[in-house]
Amino acid sequence: MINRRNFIQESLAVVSLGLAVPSVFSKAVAAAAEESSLKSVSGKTLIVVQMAGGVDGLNTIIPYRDPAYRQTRQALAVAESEMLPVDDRVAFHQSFARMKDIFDAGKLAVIEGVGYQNPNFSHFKAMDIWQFADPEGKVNDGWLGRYFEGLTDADGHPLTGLSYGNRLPESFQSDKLSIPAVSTLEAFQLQNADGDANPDVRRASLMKLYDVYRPANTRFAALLDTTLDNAYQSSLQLNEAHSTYKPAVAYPQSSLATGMRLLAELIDSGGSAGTTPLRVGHVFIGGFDTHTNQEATLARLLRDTSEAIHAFWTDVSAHGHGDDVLIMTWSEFGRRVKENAQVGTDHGWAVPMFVVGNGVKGGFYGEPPSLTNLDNGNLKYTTDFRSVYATVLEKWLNAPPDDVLNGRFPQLPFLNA
Amino acid sequence: MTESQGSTSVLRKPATRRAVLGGSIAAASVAVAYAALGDKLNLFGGSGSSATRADTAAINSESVRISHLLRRAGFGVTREEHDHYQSIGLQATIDELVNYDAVDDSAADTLAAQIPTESLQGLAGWWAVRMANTKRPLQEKITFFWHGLLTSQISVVKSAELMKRQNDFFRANAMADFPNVLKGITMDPAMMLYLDTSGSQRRAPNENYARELMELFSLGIGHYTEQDIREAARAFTGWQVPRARTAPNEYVFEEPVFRPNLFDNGSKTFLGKTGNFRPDDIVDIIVEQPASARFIVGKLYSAFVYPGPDEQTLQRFVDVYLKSNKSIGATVEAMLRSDDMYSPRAYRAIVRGPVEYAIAAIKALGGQASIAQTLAQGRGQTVAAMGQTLFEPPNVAGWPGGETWLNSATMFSRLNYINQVTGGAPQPRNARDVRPQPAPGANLGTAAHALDYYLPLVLDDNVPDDARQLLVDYAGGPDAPLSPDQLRSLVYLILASPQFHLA
Repeated sequence: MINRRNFIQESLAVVSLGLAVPSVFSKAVAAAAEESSLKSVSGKTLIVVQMAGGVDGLNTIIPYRDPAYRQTRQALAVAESEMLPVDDRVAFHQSFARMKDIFDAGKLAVIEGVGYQNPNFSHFKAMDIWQFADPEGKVNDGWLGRYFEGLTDADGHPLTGLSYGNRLPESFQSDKLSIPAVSTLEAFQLQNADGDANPDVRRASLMKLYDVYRPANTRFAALLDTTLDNAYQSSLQLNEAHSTYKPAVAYPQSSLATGMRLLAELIDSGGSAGTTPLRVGHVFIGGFDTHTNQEATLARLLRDTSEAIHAFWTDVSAHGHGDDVLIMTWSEFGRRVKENAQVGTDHGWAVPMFVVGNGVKGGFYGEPPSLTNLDNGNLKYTTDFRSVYATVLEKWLNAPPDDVLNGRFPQLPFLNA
Repeated sequence: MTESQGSTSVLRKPATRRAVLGGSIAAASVAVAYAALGDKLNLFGGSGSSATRADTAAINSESVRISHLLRRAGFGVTREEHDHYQSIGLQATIDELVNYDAVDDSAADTLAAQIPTESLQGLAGWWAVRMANTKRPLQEKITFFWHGLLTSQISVVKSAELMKRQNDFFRANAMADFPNVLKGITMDPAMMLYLDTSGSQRRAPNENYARELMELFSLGIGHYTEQDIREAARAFTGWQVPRARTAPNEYVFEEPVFRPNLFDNGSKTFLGKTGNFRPDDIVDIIVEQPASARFIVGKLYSAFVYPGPDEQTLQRFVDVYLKSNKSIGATVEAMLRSDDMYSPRAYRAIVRGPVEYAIAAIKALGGQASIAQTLAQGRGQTVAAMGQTLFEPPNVAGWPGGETWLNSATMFSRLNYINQVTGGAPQPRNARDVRPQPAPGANLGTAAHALDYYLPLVLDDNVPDDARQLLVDYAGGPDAPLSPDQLRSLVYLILASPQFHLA
């Protein structure tokens, strides 16, 4: 790794902030870190897939034998010929076929009826609630940001977290660390001037300009400096990973798939299994806010989602990382049971989550919400989303869920050991 | 002094992210505390090194105040504009910004009129040309403010024509009364398509617009109930933006029509008032809410002065707003003339968004229409990579702004954009051979000359001494002759400086 030593020397102060102020992991991890820095790294990677806009869970995992389903979805009920039944109760939407494949292989957990008390129906508030893991709106850093704060990585990896996209998701928001967001690899590097015989001199000068700008009044100066430092070091690592990677599958053409391929490259960049520095990656697919003419839009989005996840999972497995990668989806809410007059659905409450990986005990979890016992026309939630987070934090990321989530939530048995 | 020294060490690298951020509620109070300590450091002369001294002293000079104002009430300046505003002074500059109807803007109109606006890219280029060339920067800046607040996405509206119409509405009503702006946007066809009032009918009122109108456009969460949303949604029923097909996959939209049989003609109870309300009534009830005045004045203050004003500060401008019959123009003018605007707390207190960042760079380099046009097109996707595409905000909340503009990826996009426009990388088509184009007769033969030319133009001539020295050293000394490539890279370093991200 070029310049790795450099980076450690220059940014150790920034990276070690988690060590200096281990407020979140006051107990378990900080103590472990005292013994060995590597113990704090579980060797496992979590990939978070945001399905933004509010997924219509009812038309994704379809309770097709429930008479209430066809009564309330007169225009939008999925035809039985367009679904893939699991049993007498539910079927997958046919555009979710690749996820069904993973389910049939026993590697997909479907958690039904996920939500939280007193739902918020605003996209933005609801997304904040899921990403801050805080329905009361009392905190404003992300649950994964809090996880990263407690993560002690004394080797100074700049890419323990990565988001694919222009904007950092709120879940990665931290007051102590800056997690990189990458849109394309080509763009994710500091370009030199054409014909410049001494590009290193110009780059070093630029970084020095950021280093010496530390006025007491401007709140953004330190942020600018840290951001540039992290960006530069991350770009070196990422571009090296990309230049050597050979995917085992052809990824579909979608932004989500492109992002997942990038994460696969990064996971493999550590070399042998369990050595990737990446702890959490975040990818995004939007458009699930299907207020009007839902059918074609939802089908396309479900296909994009399931094909990208399937390709990624196949690829990382072929590279020997199948046991070290877990994929978890989330969406800020489900949709109203009754369709609206514009052949769409409005914002609802309970929504399913999907968890994929070799570490998963496949099957259905949580209590399926009733289609007749509704709350203002919405499916009532039966599982708090923080129970899913807590399970993943403790069983997968080896992190203390109570500290990250500011509370204790009953865990679900969808992960092995 | 121990307190001051304590704050000094806190603000030194490595500062925590939260400590240096504003924008979120918890952070805002921290920021207030730091701002106060920063002032204290200044008052007592400061015991820290140059690296931790506040850089706000500059705002006491009229020259810097003018440049600061033009970053907020405009998109930065060309050399020519810089010289013009500096020569007429601060008060005359404010007068000219505010009384923009009296300013001839035909040159910008002519430039913009040459650009076809049938596509998103054309439309974005058209607007960028306006931003870069207008002599009425405040009007354009408020237009941009409205676009970010009362926003629509072209990907949803699917009509460049309607998006342009919405944009023209914002420009024409830049300084209008807030109730009229809200009434206009409620019946704006692009908005009606975007938030689904078009086609909403009494049997199943679509709640989308009613919710966002209150949550994001006029009141903020906590000042209405879910029931208020349902009731307002009933008042917005009955309207449709008709669409006529002119060719396969080609449509023209017609004027919104009202279909009485689809309107919910019953009584509604909204925010404590009852009646058979129509859209204008809903707006009239909203703007009478005290929360509405605080909402819009707070948005304006955060955009033009500094983010997160305290209640007392806000109240002074809420008074102006209410006394002026809810005039946006009067409120903004009061802000631009206020001491707040030129207080240390306001200086470099806002992170420039991508479009502002790019336009300011272009203007400093000798602004050309073709550059502004192409920044929104083709390889000029760089502004999109910075996180902002005109007419395509991420969602109905607009761009969150502030620190969210800055992450690893957008930092590269910004710096690489500067590399491109200073001639360090190939330009987008139609914009070749762009290099720093100083005013005719300017002497840029040495580092000292180049710094004298560019530092006052783009950085208020206000950078740490070691930064200035670094630039001089990079060029090989103050008096060493600069080659064109050296000049190119020197200008890159100036525009790529950390201060240039801030307004």
